Amino acid sequence: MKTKISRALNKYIVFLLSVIGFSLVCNQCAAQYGVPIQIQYKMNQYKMKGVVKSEKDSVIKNIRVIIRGDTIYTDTNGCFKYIYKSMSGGTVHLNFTDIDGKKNGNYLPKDTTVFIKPEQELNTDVILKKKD
Amino acid sequence: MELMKLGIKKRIALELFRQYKKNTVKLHELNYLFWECTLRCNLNCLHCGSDCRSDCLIKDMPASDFLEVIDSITPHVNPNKTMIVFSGGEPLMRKDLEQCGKALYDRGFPWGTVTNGYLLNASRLNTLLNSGMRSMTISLDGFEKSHNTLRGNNKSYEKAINAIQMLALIKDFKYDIVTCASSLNFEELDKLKNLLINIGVKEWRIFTIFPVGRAQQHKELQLTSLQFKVLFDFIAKSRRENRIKLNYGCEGFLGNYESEVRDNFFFCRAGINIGSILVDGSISACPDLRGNFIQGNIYKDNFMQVWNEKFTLYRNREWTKTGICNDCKLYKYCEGNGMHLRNENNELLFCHLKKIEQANIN
Repeated sequence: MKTKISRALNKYIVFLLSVIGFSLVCNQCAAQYGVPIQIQYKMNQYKMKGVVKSEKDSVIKNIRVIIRGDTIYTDTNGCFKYIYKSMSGGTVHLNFTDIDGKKNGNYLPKDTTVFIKPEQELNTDVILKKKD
Repeated sequence: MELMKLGIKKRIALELFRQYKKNTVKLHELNYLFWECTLRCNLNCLHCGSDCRSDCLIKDMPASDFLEVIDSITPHVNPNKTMIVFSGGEPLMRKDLEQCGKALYDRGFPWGTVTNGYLLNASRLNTLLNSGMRSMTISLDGFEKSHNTLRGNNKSYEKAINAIQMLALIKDFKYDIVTCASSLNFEELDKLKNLLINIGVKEWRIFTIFPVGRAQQHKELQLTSLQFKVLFDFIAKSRRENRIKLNYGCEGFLGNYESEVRDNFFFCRAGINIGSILVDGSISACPDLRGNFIQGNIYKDNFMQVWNEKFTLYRNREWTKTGICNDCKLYKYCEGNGMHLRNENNELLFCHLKKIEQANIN
């Protein structure tokens, strides 16, 4: 109860102060060597998709794709799709690895880096080379 | 500007604010938590408050120990409204900062880090942002010569500027630049302001060197009382120009300069809203508050229990009304200045009002 009263009183004081032209004086600033307070911001959604193919243009299923520490696999059509939320875009590193040996063909791993912007679906088709 | 003679409107505002402070003290809500994640540092600053070194013998606290505390406080706070701040030393010296940040992000805590910018390249910034970092502060203490002298490294200016330029390119990211005003950079502040504006910086924070830590050995770096007053006039003027959001740091009641040189009125929230976990597990308010300001240790005590049951010297500051504070007419608005400006005998090392007053007398 006391907590509620103190909170309500403070809201009232903030209101009164803004009426007399001191609207920001109750704001909490960054402490000493601390950072500015940022408790709210917009999270953006990022979408990436692509098809993994061989040099002969055939799709490759079950290729492991590591993106931002997450692991996904290509489907029977060689497709992968990845959606994540973050505050900021930028470079994203992708690692493609054939993990089933000769079962679906035997391919060399590949690393690639892409730049992604918010609310944009990024197509990242990849061609894997066959192992000798 | 008449320093001590407050106008009627400001006096009313300060009286209202006193009541606001009393209520805030009663509420005693933790909403800003420092984690001194390392005391290692890649620079060797003349004005360092914590005397950090690259070869620091005190080991970093394991992230798991810190996260255990976070899990223990989570039921008692609103994670979304509790800012976690990585401080140091130089936080970017830790290679697991991103994992720790991601763990905080997953628990719903906003977090940020302070840095000298030396280790911040595009790839590190990217990983920090991808780990949910929401806020950052970069130190810049003047132009190349003065910054490098103060920081003890001839590449530190270049690195800091590179880091600032990267941050300026990120849309909607909250960051500020902090400058410790000293006799070395005092004459450069106006030009520094223009440089920051040209880079695209939106927020700048200036505080003044104070005689704690290594700065105690470099008395020549302290500002004269006249420089001190000119600094506040400079900040007030820059705020009126409105080309960059400039604030004086959190410390010091400033008489009539209150609300002219920063958005908020002076309120030392150490131990009232601000807590810290130091590298050895000590529980304190702001990280500079050590010795008898320490309230417990995470390796022995429950953080929330300490927060709720101790911290009395922070919540009741009547004990600060001694020495020069004893006969100060404006004590009721100040309540003994920032806690970090008190030594181990609880004596005040620095009074902002007296220093500005001194300039007026001279």
